[in-house]
Amino acid sequence: MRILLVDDDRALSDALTASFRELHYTVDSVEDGEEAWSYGSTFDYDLVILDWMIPNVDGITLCRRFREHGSHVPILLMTARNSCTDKVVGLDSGADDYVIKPFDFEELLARIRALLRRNSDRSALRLTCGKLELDPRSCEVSFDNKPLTLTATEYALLELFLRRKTHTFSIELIVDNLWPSDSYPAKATVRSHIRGLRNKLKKAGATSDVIQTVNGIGYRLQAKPKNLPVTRSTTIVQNTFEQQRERANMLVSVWQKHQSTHLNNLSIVEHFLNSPAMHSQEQANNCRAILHTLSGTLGTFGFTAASQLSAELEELWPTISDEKDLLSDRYLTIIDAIKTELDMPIEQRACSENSANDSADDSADDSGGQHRLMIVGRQHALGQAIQASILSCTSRVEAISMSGLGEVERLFLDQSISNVSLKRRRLHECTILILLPDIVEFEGRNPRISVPMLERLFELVPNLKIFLIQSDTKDRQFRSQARLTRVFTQCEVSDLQALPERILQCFNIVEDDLTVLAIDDDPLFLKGLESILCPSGFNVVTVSDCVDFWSTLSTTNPSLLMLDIEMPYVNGIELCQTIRRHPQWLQLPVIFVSAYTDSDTQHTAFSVGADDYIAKPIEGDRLITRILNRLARVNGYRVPSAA
Amino acid sequence: MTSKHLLLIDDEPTIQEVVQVGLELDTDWIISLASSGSEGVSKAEHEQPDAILLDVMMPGMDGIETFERLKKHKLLHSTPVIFLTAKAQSLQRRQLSQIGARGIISKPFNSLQLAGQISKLLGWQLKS
Repeated sequence: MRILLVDDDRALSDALTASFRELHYTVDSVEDGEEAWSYGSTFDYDLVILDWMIPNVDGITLCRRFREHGSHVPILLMTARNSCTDKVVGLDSGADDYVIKPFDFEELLARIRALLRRNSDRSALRLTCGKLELDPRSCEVSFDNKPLTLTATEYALLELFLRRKTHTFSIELIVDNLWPSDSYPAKATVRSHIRGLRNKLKKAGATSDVIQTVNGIGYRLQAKPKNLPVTRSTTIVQNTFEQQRERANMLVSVWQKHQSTHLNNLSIVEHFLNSPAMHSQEQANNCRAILHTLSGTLGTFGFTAASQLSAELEELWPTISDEKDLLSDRYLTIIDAIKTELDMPIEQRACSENSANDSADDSADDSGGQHRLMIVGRQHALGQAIQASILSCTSRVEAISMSGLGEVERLFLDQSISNVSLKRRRLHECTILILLPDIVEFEGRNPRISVPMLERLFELVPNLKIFLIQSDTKDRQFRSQARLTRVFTQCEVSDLQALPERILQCFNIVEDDLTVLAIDDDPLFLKGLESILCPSGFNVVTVSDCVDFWSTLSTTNPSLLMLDIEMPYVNGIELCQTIRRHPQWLQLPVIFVSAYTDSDTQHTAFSVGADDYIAKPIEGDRLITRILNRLARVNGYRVPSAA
Repeated sequence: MTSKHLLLIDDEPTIQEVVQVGLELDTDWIISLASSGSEGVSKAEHEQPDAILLDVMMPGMDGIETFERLKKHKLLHSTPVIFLTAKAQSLQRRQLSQIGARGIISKPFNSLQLAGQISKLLGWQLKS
């Protein structure tokens, strides 16, 4: 319980503060009325104890101010004034109770308890929840009539939960309630106290967690276990096709209503880009705002690429508007690409947006485990050699096709963006492109295919895999540029023997029985993870409740462990530390998958023994590649080279 | 049990419509709309919603300023606010969390998952 004590008598304040803290109350003590108003209007208190005669703003005025501002906090007025008139004035100002100095400390405590009970869920003197009992008078806690020894903070936590049984407390709210306002405990500290409290309750015989975690919100006293609210993730999984169709119809309807506005706005941006020097800074800012809106809106209707391109252009906008005379056609090309996508039928997008939101479905193979591949280049002899080597090593690749330069030009070098959809459709027909050296390498000053062109290709078909076959010595510049984009897999001509194996890796074909154990408190994420990893042959075991972690770890004996960082029962970092202390799990590959992208968190993860760190949201193909790479490095695992 | 009341403050009519219609399909919540920060504060004061969905980047009073006004308001300071932002970078996420946002939802969002995201952040129960 948190108390604001307002009294300019330092000796009395100190004595009361010390006594209250012994009783596990959290106390902020201030000496004047303005300071009290500042504290009282900033923090939530369970009780304000207010002296009448205090500097700056007197207690009666302060009391009225609290009430006028809608505060219902119980206020106990302390004063040496003992006339009936004074009492009436005090109570009429909004105070809930009145004690006359000098007072009996036990009486003061009794009055405080009485006031606190008014805001509690129960009027009983003892706070109870099932077999759990807390007596605020004696500060005794028991479970099933067996006494519990709690630390001061554990006691305060339990009292907080018991007094407001229906409340869910975020960590911030717990800190606000239990720590003085000049203390800033880390979240991990609060979690550690909660963990301690839970452990003691469990040891005392509580069959399940009395302190329940409300995912994404905080903690609360356990609700009736049999009536737990239906989680949204369950509902999402159970969405029927009809619901999706209804949703798609809604999106189509909304889009049709607003489409012309967005296209008009896009035209404004296009107009600006066509003659930027003619426009004002205000118009430039307006264009940026339009792009911002488009990036945030289009994706909701399934125009993912257009949304990403808008965001990209928005990021580039300061450069664009600063260098009005140096504009390249690339920006207009992006506008064209956005417009082209917006011209596509919304109906299909609206359906697909809701039925399959991850890239795994795009990369899933429609041909019963077979994969398609296109070799691009004029070097037919080399292309045929590659084709033969692939076919001799695996039967999992089918429909290898060769393309000449004309095809390549139509695919890559056609600058008119009007055929974006055609390109997309054609490229969907193959899942891997192998680009031969004559396509990749420099001719004169420029390669036939530039890195930006390849980047564009990935924008069009994000799940496409591209292998660059390069000569041993040439094109270091292009290769290093390409590597920077992190989207290419490269192979030198002299190393073609390794190509089939790398292609199998690229297709993420797992032929051994590999088990991935994933711990995350988000059931939707775990579901998505299964949909990504299972089609590639992984055996995926998921744990959303860390209570089950150790037993699951022992029984599954996984090949790799994926850990979230922020989880309700335990921190992933701490869990990793503990895992690394067990000789049995010292070599177990651990990959953190977390929404945290800052370097400090990543550094911490690696320092406690992580092998890799992947930021959410995860991309299916990259995740699998990282897992396979990790297994290869740590366990010497190799994807079999032959089917 | 009375229906929850959610106020969306966003200047973009397309987002307003897709959020309102989408949430009304999925929930029994009452959704009201405001097109600017100042209109949002005024509506919030008048309607006393259970939670507010607030766009970060708006012309005039932006989401952060709107949030600060809400937090200073005697009747609205404890109303949970979820930010909607197209720029959900980690730095901004942390900044929004630190100033007291209940949560952050990135744009573009999947309309089918929006109700689930909001209810999870607010601890609200969805109709079955």
